[in-house]
Amino acid sequence: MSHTTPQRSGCACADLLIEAQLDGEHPNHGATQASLAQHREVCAECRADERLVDLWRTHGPLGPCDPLDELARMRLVHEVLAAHDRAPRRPRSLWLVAPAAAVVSALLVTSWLVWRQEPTQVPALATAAPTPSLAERESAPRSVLIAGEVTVSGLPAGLGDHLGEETTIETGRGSMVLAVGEGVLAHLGGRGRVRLMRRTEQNTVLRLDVGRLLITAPEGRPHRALEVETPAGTVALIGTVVAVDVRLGAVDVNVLRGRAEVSEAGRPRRAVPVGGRLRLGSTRVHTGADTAHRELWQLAHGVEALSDRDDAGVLRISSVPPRAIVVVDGRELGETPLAARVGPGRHVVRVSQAGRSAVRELALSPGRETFSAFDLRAAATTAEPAPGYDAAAAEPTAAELLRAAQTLRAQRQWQAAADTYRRLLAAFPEAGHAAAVELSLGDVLLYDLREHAAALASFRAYLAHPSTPAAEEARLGVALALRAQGGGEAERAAIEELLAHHPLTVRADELRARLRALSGPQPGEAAHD
Amino acid sequence: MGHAVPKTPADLGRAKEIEAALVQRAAAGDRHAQQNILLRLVEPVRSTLRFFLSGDAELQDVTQATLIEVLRSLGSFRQESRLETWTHRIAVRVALRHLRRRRRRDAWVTLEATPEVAAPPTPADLHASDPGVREELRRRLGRMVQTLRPERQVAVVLRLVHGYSIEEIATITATRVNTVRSRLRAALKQLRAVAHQDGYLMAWAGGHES
Repeated sequence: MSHTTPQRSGCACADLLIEAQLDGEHPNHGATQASLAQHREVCAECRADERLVDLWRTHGPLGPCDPLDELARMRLVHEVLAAHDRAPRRPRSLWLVAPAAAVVSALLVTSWLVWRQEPTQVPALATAAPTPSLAERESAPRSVLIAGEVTVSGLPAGLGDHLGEETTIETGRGSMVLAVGEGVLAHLGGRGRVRLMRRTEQNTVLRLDVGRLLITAPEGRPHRALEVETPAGTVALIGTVVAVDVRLGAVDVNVLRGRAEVSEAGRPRRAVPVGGRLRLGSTRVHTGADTAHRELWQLAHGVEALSDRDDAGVLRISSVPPRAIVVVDGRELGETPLAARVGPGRHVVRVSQAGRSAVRELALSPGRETFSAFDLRAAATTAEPAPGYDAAAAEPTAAELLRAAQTLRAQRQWQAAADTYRRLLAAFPEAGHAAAVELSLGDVLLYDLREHAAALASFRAYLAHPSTPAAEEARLGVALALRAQGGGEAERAAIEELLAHHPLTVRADELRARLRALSGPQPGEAAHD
Repeated sequence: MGHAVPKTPADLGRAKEIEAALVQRAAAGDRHAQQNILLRLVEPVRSTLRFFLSGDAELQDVTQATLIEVLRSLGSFRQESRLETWTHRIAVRVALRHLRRRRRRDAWVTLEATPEVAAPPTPADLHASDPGVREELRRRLGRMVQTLRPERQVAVVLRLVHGYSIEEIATITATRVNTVRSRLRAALKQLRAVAHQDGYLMAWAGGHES
């Protein structure tokens, strides 16, 4: 490569070059280009000019070239929408404004004349009620949480948007919570599709095509009826925490609190009580907890943390990498990117993924949006604490402890799992899933660690809770723990209580056989394990 | 959310239908549609404006102003061109308006090319792949373009960077063809004169002779 600095005297072809740049479709363009090509062979100055233009095309932007990250883009869009909403509407044309102004003037004059003649009569215009469409819009369900990718009628969902009838919500790898009104929240999990069918003064009807819909409503407060249509029937939710699952053509109803009524074609209307599980199409209502119940309780706990109050703040959390778990004040809300309506005030936000986590304390102002981006690539176990951050808040949250205990249990580390369950109960005795944790702890102690006395205490603690959807499982645990401790009258009473409350339990025959054995000459004889 | 690139004429037709429906809904005030359109247009608008504006804050402000203008004007979008093309034209007009306003505000500032003060570079230092060299070249080119009057700046960017014809530039900037032609001629002459006074730029351009 040789270094040839062009002469600065000005090239004879400069004007020609400029003309060529001006218009490539000029009649003499071909000839111009040909003569330029010949000239370039000998003129370093022209070649330098061309290189500068090429450089400018490829590297010439004046501002930053990096595209905005997802959070910044969302923030910009929200600012634009807010500014657009605030901006006064421009009249489209004088031709439209002039007749409208004339009509308004005429109405005002008429009203004034009427008012002059009938001083006690209120002009009709003054009593005009708000249009039904506006009222309906204001009371329509609106989104209070969007985690991951969610679409509404094919478009990306927006937080706080009112959703009208015939709106279809699809959650791919995300989830969404809708405020249906009067404190009722509906959580649609991943890979779900729900459609808002209708909303009247009496009820709201959702159609669940696929996925899981968890509905929570405040206890003891009347709320309008909510119905969920499914491919196999309709579920009317009278309860306060109910989940409806539509998977692979099967429809399951889980009632955690309150009750639900199911209508199916060709069948009488049936009620599903608290703790009940019903697969539509089957005849039997199952009772007793399973892992789904416990997961649902945890989920409901997170959903109930959301707020539909008008002064709720908006929390937007993103992370690198995405799909990290977001826990706010110990309640798991979903995966990043996430936007949620949360009550104003200070909140401890923990974002974690694959062993890396970061914690910040964020202050939400009433009705304002708060953005926070977490970079977990650089985070070790915890990120740099925010100013004024309370170190105690860095302790694991209830949701994290529960998840850790479940993981340890899956890894058959029974003692560590039991210790974690105990730690969770000690740290968060009032948490919504405390009852489910007592049951899980009892299971580990009884079946895996063989600590029968401790297991008995856990099952009894579970049964002391006001809502015990897994009472059957707990009562069985009590009976088995007593049997392991020597049986006798206490075991007999426990089995009788179990059969009285759950006569259809799958272990009924076995338990009755045990009762007979206990009533015989050798009550302490062990029937079997 | 990834968008599949349409490949067949049927796909293109379908994409156009979706876009038309989206615009119609956004113009009617549908929040989701508005959000969707804005998310789609943020980067195209920024990439258009980057050729006119230098600072982050300025770029942010004008991007916002452009998108607000797009939302306001959606009702007049007639589907005769692609949404991105139509938005590009709005971005250019907003940028031109902003540049004129800024020029009036900063009228007392001398925008002539500053004399060369950096030490003359050696050919070995001038590889454009070197981030430092690239940044310096960009800075100098940017300063050079900003010496132009706003109308000339817009015309030359549209012609040389975006490849618009003279007639198209006249339509976008709402001027006559001959006016655009004279603006371009003046802009190119001025750029050439300024560039030839910049030793760094000319050393780079000449240093790549093989």
